[in-house]
Amino acid sequence: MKRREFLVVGGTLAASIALPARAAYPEKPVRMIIAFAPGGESDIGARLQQGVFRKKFGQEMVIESKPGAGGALAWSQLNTFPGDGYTVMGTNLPHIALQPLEGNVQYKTDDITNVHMYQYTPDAIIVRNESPFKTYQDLVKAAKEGQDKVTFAGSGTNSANHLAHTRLNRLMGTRTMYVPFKGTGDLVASVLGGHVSAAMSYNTLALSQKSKMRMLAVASERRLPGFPDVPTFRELGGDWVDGAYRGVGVPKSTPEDLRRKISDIFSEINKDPEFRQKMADGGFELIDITYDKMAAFMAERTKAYLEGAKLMGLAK
Amino acid sequence: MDSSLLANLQLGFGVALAGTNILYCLIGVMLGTLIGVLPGIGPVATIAMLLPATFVLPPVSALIMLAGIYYGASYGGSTTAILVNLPGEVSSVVTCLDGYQMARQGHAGKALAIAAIGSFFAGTVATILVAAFAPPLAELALKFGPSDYFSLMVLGLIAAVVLAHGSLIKAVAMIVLGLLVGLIGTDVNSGIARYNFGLPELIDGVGIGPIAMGVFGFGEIIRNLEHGQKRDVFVKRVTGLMPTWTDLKMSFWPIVRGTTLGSMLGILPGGGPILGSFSAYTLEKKLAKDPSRFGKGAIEGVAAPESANNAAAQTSFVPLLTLGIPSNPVMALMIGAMIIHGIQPGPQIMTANPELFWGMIASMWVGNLLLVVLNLPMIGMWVKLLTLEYRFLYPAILLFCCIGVYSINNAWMDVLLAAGFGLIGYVFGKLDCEAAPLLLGFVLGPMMEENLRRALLLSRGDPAVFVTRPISATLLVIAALLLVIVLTPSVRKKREETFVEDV
Amino acid sequence: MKHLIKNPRDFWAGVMFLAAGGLFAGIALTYKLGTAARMGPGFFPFFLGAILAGLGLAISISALRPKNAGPTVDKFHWGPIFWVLMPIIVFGVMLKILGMIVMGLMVVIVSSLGSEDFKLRPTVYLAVGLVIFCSLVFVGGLHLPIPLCPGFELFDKFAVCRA
Repeated sequence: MKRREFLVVGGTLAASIALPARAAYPEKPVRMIIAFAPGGESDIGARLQQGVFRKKFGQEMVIESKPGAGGALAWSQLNTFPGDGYTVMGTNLPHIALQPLEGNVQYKTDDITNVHMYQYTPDAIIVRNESPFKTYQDLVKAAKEGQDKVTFAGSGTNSANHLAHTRLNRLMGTRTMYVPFKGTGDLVASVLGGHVSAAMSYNTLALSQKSKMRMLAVASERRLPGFPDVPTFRELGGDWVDGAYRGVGVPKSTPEDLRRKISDIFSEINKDPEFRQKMADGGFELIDITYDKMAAFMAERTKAYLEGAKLMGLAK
Repeated sequence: MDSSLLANLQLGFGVALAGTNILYCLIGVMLGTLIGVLPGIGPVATIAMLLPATFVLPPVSALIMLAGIYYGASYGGSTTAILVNLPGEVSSVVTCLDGYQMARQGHAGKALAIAAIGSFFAGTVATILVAAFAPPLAELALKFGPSDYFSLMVLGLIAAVVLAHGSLIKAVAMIVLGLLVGLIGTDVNSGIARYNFGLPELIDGVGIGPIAMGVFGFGEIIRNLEHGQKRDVFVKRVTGLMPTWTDLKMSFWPIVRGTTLGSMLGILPGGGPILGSFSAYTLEKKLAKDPSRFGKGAIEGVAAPESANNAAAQTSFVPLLTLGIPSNPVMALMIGAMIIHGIQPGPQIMTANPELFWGMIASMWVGNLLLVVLNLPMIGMWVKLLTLEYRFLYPAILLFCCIGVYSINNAWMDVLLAAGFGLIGYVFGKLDCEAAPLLLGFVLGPMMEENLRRALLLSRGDPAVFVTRPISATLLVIAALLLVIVLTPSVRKKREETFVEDV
Repeated sequence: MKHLIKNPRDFWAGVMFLAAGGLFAGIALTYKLGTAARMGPGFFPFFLGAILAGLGLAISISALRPKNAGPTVDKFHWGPIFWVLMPIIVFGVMLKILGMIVMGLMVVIVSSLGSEDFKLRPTVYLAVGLVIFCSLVFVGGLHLPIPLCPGFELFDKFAVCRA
């Protein structure tokens, strides 16, 4: 432990002894900073938590949007906030693993102290209803024959979708083309209009476009309840369970007991039946990576992302 | 179709006129007007903050209210554009050109009234269009591929040249400058941050808010102040609160044409309302017998773009309601609101939640009616505001702008940027460089590059796509024609002007 | 020099475009240019910058021709520039530290100094009135996350203060 950290932790500990009221956390509104624009999946998730938080813990959870640089703007400021448990921040994987590799941002993956991961949206291949590709095998066949004629729309460059596409190419043994869009909303029109062959996106897109698009494969552990006919990549022969994970991070100076407490709070929210139902309706797969499991989880994910990043040419 | 349309509308109006829903619609448009009138406080920030408050409402009421905020704000934004040269929304930038001049000449009341009337007409027509043809219109929007978008942007930029009433070449230079400023930030295709000078705050580029507020608002305030005591009262003489019969006759066709253009362009995701208001203005200026009146307080220059942007604000719901595609940040937020309320947004919404779909459409018309009813009597009050001494008016505007710019992204950098653009705007004024073309270039620049590169990526670098795809080819032909029209008379006009000065 | 420039407004506008275009194009060269078929991030801005510089040059040159003669550039008034922009900059930098109440009063009072008929008393009334209005409407009513008065827990109920 460095001197400064020692002082910080020591100071907070002293303060916590002096103020026994801490046992009653939360005793005032908790600010949840979301690194993406309102209306996005991270924002929606937090807003659904907001209601349960109020109901269960009697305090407000105030959502503040700090969008910018694909989330990096907020994450690079995380450790500047007081570690008193009243400022927490939404964190996203693989973003916080990939962005530092890219080198444009001013934080490192280790700077983000994740205390809980509560849901993920698995990667998925989605085509429009009119598409000639009925199955994943059709797609592989066409990609092998036409190589770069098969195009995939995705959100962003060096992003989760980009990484997923790189993996897909390796899995299929092809060199299909990745066409980056600004966001998932932007690419929908291009997929529906047939300007690209498919989308490399998440199950949530397939869900919201259920009547106009179909999913060919999904990177979840097992088949999704809403899509019993869609095979997982595991079934198709790839070791691929991944997607966009969402969780909660705290400033580094937050003491251990508070980190645990916050983790417990979000685990608790995850158990709320109404919340579960709404998340399921939205296509969000709930997970429960608590603070104790976090180190192992992050190590495993980071290793997988590094591998993918090497394929993309991001990391050596 | 027809009888079912009537049945659907009946269902819709039943929902929209139900006691509480009409109340929420009213609250929505009132809030919207309020935040639209306060410079810089945009609908996105407001809706985001009010979203939790709508949790307790039934989903239909919540969405009706949110929609009301959206078009109420786009309406209120025009009020500040006319009164103090501050475009509340990008789409009201064009309204500044002639609306503010009318206000300076004491015709603020007329300008506001014609904006209200035009908007109501446009809102009515657009609502009917959405009700009757939403699905086929959405199909049409899907036909637009990257190359078609690029060509549409080219057309839009050429139209922007016409906005200028001074030197043509300077207007072109301003557009190019705007395109370049728009490229600041992360490049979508490579993920590289450009022109951000190492500042993380610029990785997403410069927002439209700081630019519009700086160049238009702050620049204008500095200009007004340098004249010192000559202008203790902003506008000395106010004439005619309401438009005369002649004004209405002059505005009729511009309103119709603006509505048509706005409705069409509003359907396209991305940039629809902006392109709509700009092109409506351009069209009027080209059709006018005496184009030189434009930029100096021509009533058509307010009527057409105002109708267009309101029509577009309504039809921009088409991609949202029929395809689940958000065409702007407000729409993205509404999708979020649907999910939170347990409604799955997307193409199935029309069949799965007909009362929501038709209720929202009907509420749009109700909302537009409420807006007119609310705002026509308020014109007198707004105009009174202008007779305030300027030394009290401008500090208030500055404070609202500061808070507004900050609240767009909760970013202090935006406030500094706005100040910087204020200085730039002042310099532009000194050098007779007009800011409106810059702003259009700024908005279209990133979309233009994105679609150009995407089109070439998909065609494997073959530029022929721009002429082989029918939509793209048509748009380019129109662009070329427009270019010819733009060039010829202005060359002649320029010569005449020089002549006058020589004498 | 002076008599060579027949249209100073155009001339200096041209110089401005030339400089801006040169700057954008120059920086664009540090990004990958790519080819027309596979454009890199520098391609589009480089060409736009070059076009802007070219336009600027053309505008400046045409400003030298007698037949394009035009009015001089009006004097720059640094007073209003200072009194309008300075409070905005201070507002941006200090808002998070001092909060909207203090900064709001500052913006209104300082910017009022730019007016030649400044009077202290009505300006203070105006400032207080506007700050109350803004606090009630934006923070109280619309719940915008603007710090009102950081450091005072008292206000935490009213808004999340320590932004």
